[in-house]
Amino acid sequence: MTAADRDFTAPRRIAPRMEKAVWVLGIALILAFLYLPIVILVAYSFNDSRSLSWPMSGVTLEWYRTLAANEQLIKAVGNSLYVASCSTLLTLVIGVPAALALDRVNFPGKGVFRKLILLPIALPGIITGISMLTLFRMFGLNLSLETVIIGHATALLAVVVTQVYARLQRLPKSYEEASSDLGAGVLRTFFLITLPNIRTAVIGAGLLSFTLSFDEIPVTFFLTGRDNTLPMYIWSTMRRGLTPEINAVGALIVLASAILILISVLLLRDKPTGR
Amino acid sequence: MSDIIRIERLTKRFGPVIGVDDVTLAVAEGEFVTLLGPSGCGKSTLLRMIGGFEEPTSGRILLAGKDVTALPPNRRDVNMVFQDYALFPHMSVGKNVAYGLRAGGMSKAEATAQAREALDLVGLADRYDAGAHQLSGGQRQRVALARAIVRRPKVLLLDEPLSALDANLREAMQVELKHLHTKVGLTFVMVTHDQTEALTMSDRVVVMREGRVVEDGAPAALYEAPATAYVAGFIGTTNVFAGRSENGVVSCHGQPLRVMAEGEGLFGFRPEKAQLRPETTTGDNLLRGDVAEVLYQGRNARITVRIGDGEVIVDQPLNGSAAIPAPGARVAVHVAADRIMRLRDDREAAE
Repeated sequence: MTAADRDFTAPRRIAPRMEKAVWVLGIALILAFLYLPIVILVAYSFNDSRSLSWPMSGVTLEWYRTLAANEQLIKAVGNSLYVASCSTLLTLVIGVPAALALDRVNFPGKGVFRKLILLPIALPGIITGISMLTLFRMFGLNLSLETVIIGHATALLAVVVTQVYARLQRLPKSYEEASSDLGAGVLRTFFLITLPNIRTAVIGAGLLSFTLSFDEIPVTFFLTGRDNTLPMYIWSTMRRGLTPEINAVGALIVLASAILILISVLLLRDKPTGR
Repeated sequence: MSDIIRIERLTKRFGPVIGVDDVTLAVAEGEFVTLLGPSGCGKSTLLRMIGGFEEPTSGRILLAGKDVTALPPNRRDVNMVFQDYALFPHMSVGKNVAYGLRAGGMSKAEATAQAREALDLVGLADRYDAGAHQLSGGQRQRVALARAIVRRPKVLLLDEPLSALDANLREAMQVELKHLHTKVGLTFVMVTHDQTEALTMSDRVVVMREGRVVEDGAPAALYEAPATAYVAGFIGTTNVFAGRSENGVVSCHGQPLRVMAEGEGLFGFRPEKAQLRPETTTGDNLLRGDVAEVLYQGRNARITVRIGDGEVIVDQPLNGSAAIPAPGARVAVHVAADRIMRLRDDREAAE
């Protein structure tokens, strides 16, 4: 190898290592950007001082104990779970048939229907909130958790319809035709053939809806009566400053989310389907 | 034999496009009928209307004498083998086959027993518990067959059943399907664009074009004596030429040929019905010209001979008895008068 060769090749031999280091650093920064706040939140929920100073003076479970004794907060969690479950169920019951209709049935105004059903996701929550508030007032309905559920469901419908519709489009029409050919009626075909094949999309859309509903504030703000959901409760206590209890609530929500994600991964684990 | 299917003046329009145009057709019980034609000729649409997956614009479909035109697929006693097989991916092979029986209200034990029997019939008795995704292409095809025949429908519909298989497997399955037809004794209606498949497997071939039935007959009849130039060209290869026969002689690319028919129109002969002779041969019905191209095809050589301003194709068997001429050689093509067919053109066929 001549000197000229070495001069030429040396920078190229270093470059891949440099490149790799840059990539690793970049990825680390992105992850830090995403997860550092959560790590800090969880860490401070165990801090034994009320002040947010670093380093932490000690570790305690005190804030979790006060949480467990806070009846208002527990009530709020219950309300949130109730609202999220019901609105998810409602959107699935309306959204799955709507997606089926969009995919399988031809009817006049189908294109418009598709765009209209997707519109609420693009509308700011404030608009949905105000307009539904006006509507409920007009009909003299009292605001309650149920009105919140209806409000959430309208916005979430778009999520469910989009996801289920996308899956239906990839599902060969011949499955349903074959089922019908083999003597099955419409309902049998839906429950035995269509639903098992779009199961993952339905579960995924359901979990996403649940999460979105669980931490929703704008629509809830307008449509709730005297009952508070968890995000509303946290927001209202925040006016008294950032307290370690709130960090503890946050840490618990992180834990719950992790469990939900785990469940969804387990449920959605597809059997190998080589078509 | 009675007619199991009667199709009366069936028409299907897709907006301005005509898919099936005024088709009338009867299928006898136990028959193996193939609908043959190029893609877009309406053969699949016709099959799907028999199955109930497309609603006819007008006309009637009778199944065993009963009008089923308005019935949905699940209330028709026919079953279909889909082009993509449509095996339910979330069910085992056995559950797939038993599905139709269970939908019909059969007990689980009875359905399982019959499904096993059907799988045995297609040689897959040991794959009852396998997942649909674990099967090879040929095995899926058999499962689709078993699933369709297990209900013992009045008619089995097959939509391009072999098109997804590779060439070797396709030939083997052609034979197997034909055997299955004999064994189960059901009426088969198959759709294909493959003429070899149609000739090999069916009792009767219905040739379609642009939504209409062009010709309908036994494979041998369609091949040996096609009525139209279209069928002559679609099933096998034919040398077609136009001319006027006077006193039993017609001009083919400027040279006289003795024929059996009289009149003006299209004439044609099959490449394998003509023979190459040395240029020096004398006699009747010889076309003299130059070899333009020689294609080696294993069993025979396909030789294009330029005759005046036209060309004819001759298939020369490669059984060692004759040498293949080289391009440029002067040759004579002999074709016997009774091998020359009188063909109707599109205009005549429409009349």
